[in-house]
Amino acid sequence: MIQIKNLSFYYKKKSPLFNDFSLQLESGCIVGLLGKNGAGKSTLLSLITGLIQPQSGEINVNGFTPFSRNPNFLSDIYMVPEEFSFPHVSIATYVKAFSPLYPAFDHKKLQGIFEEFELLPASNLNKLSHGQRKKFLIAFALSTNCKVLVLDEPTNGLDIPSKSQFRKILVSSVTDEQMVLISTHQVKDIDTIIDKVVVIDNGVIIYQENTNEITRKLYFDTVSSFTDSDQVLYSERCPFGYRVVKHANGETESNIDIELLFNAIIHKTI
Amino acid sequence: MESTRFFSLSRFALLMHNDILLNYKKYLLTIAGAFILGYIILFIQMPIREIDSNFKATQYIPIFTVCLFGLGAFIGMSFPALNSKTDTITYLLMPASAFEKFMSQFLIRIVAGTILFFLIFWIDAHLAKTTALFVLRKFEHIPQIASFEFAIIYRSIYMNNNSLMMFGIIFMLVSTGIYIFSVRMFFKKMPVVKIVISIVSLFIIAFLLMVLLSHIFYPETVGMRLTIPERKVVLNHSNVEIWLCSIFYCSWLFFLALGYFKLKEKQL
Repeated sequence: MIQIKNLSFYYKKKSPLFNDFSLQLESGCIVGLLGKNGAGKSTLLSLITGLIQPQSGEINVNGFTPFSRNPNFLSDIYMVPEEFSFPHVSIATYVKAFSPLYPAFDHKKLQGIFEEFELLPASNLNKLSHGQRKKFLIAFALSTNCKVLVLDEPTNGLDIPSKSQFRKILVSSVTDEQMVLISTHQVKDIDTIIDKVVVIDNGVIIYQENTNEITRKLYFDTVSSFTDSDQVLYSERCPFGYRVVKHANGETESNIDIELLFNAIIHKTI
Repeated sequence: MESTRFFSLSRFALLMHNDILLNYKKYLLTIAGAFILGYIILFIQMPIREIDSNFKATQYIPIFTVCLFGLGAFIGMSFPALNSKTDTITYLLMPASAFEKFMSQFLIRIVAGTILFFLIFWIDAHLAKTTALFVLRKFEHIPQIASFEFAIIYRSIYMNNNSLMMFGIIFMLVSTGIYIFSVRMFFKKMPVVKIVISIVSLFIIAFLLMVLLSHIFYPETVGMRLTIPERKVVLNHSNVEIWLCSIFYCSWLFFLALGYFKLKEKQL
């Protein structure tokens, strides 16, 4: 569980990024953290993982204060950063060096994901493409079985088949005790797997809702045209007319168009 | 559970295993490089011509001192993961306490580094002497080459049977090593260069401060000179000796604590 209360954080005192920020996320779900560039997504992830210290406020992750960097906390949280580097070793050596530090590490699961992602343990990490290295890092992160997985732009650099493999593997490997926090710009890559949407803008949560609540309240559709009487909350032009979001009528449900939802939130129509 | 928050032997062993597994090639190359460089430095100082004069035991001391800078550079390259943002994330999030991370680098860079330095220097010195004698074997008059032994270093620092100053010199070297080790954490890029600049700056600041104090307490001081009246204080030791030793005897502890807390509070 992640609990943030009255958090304040700034890089420059005159322009605070977070001011009196509060957020609560429960385990057993995949959370999509969305926001524009500079909204504070990566900073929030750094605060949650304990890489930076807030100026004031309280952060509690599974009973630990992240910045204390208690080893028991660190062995139960894994972050896949947007940018990463590896030592000049093979995949097998990296696994041999790092996996013992995670008590719940599952080697069988790793082997299974390696097969899905077509990764060879003998390959040198620095001779792989960026996408392959990312796939390895995601595979390693999922195999740690950490209670909190933090993924910053996990689908950046992945090819189209790998993106769907990533979604499939993520959904099948996450347990009820785990929480996955995904920060991404590529909202379409995660729209079918997230359980909760959190949108932040300028350090403020402007929207947070479970996906089943979203589908209960909102209806996403593509129409050739619409009128005022259709009570469209937000619309965007597309090749076949308009992608629209409107209030659900309670009878039919639609798939969430996260990109449309995000734009509607940013334009303050929801 | 709480006691393992700071130190757990099994976790520390895993951390050391991790470091050695990932960096053993780098360490082996460093040892090989230090061995070759040390040998070259020692060999070029050896007499290899008939007309060369004898090589005295005391001539090892300046070479040993120069080689100590190499050890300093090795220590200055501690915590290599802090050189880049991406490696820093991996390092800070590694499931081990700040104390264990600090200790692992301390053991590798300072303890193992110093032991290997002495060992390499000893082997290089004997190898250089043997090769020099091999080169000289064809000559009629062969210059004498003294053998290296650690007693030479011991005698050079145990001046005038003054054990206070001998330990003062030892602690000065220890403090310098730990200063390099700890201050490295304040610098992200080119730590060794910045450490050298920081040491030079420290000396200049200390010197200027003493000049200022000399002018305040001894108005007869002229220009950039220091006025330090020396007097015997206790057990035939002068006030300057006691002052220098009290700094060196304690400063390493301060630098060690500084390094640990800097790592503990390290932010991305």
